[in-house]
Amino acid sequence: MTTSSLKADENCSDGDDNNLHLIIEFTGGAELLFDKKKIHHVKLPLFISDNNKTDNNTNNKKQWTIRTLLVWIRNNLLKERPELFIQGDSVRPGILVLINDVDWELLGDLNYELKQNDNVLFVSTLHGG
Amino acid sequence: MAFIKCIRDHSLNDEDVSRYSRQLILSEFGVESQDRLKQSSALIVGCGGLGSPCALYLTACGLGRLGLLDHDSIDITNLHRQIIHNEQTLNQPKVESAALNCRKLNSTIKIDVYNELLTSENAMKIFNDYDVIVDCTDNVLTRYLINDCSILLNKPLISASAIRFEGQLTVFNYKNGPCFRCLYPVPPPELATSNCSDVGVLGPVCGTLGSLQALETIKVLTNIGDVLSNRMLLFDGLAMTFRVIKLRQKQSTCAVCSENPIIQSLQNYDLFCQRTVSNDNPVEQKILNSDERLRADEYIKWLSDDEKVKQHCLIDVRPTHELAIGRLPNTINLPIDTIIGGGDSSMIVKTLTDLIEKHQLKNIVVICRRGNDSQIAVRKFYELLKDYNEKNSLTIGIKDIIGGFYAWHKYVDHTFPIY
Repeated sequence: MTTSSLKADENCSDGDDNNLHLIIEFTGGAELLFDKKKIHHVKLPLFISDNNKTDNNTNNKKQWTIRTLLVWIRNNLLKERPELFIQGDSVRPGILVLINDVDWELLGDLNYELKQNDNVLFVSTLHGG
Repeated sequence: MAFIKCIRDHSLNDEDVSRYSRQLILSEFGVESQDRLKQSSALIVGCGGLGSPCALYLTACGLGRLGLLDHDSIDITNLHRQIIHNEQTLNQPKVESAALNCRKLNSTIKIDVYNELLTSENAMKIFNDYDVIVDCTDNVLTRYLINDCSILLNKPLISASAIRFEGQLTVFNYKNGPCFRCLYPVPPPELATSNCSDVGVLGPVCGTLGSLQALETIKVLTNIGDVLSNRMLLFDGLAMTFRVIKLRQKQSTCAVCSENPIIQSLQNYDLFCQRTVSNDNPVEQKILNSDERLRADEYIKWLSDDEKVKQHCLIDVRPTHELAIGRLPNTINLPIDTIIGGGDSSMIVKTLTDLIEKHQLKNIVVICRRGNDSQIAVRKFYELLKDYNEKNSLTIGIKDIIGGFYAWHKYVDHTFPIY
């Protein structure tokens, strides 16, 4: 009995080729740093410029990666205590990153290039029992 | 009439066959699996919310030998989720209570009890006697210890955790799958980990995960089905979703389970995790100096001075929903999350300065549940009011109440509800 990951609704990107549609999810307590909101439907410009400014200028094309997405999340979604989510240019120890329910370690971690309708899940590890 | 002897392809007796009939008629399981279970052993580390259902199911299913380890005794706050214990066994060692109830359920199972804290000194000797280890503990430090010990002795490890409405489950060190350290080579910062006594948990969430641990233990011991190795189950009881994610392979760089491990014996886990708390009990922090703090009874004396009463306000920094449990009159609620949240602090400054101006305040007193958050709030208030104080040449005294409402209950008002 498995609920597969939510895919970015095909309809939301219907005909919209100018944006990258992602679903970003936080669970295991990570959502507490994001206004307790677990699921975020996100629309990004297709490409990103070097200094992480969103940019649709095709001369300066750069694919979004998890590395650049983390900076965007920090600046746009994160509500409090960034040190409990980010450490250096990666996530802090104890957070797993899944792309379409697959461990990012199998996909190139920070360098994974995001695709249209990707689901990116951040799981904070639980220790209680 | 000739006697024809029955042929049995197993070592079970007639009582076993009858008792376990409903599971051994499962084609995937069969009498062979039952026979294997009878020859097998498992050690449950932690007889709490996860360990309770897990121990009961493993006892009920006809496992040969069950080990139960826990150093704690039963507190009333355990009973909503730790359902192997009951009111009659309150304050008794958890392992004794658990063993008592397991024996009532199935007297044919051999049950070993270890009423001790798991340490680097005793773990190898205890683990060595069991086929499978089940991690039902509640803290990150013990989880590293259990993982390393399971790897060093090459035992599969059934690991689960539960908090709030969520649970996670996976099987480590099974048929060349990853271990806990493959996933988490570096321990999380202490502030990022929470326990049931701080953030809460709903009983059936633990029950769900503990029951699934028993199921995976049975599968590992009898070699049936697809074991949850290389995968992790994420359970969200509030949304009611079960989600299985695909995990990384065993890591060639892993400190303990790789071909050339750095760790070849158990470590100092306090040092590695940079913390000493290894159970559900909260730590008492020391952030403020003693002259920045008031004992609960001191505050009462302080209140008898009319001038001070008029010129102070009490700020309760607990989460707003907890105030409904019990609160003091004439307090202001400013939840700690709002105070230290990364957002705009100008709202907090405005609330404080409005209060100061409206009531001509000279003192602010902060209270919370246990006396930790109140210290953090006092520090933050000093910082936020620094400019205001300088600009208006004011010195607002800010103190907290040592031990919070726990101390209030103990020293001032026994009827104040404690949770």
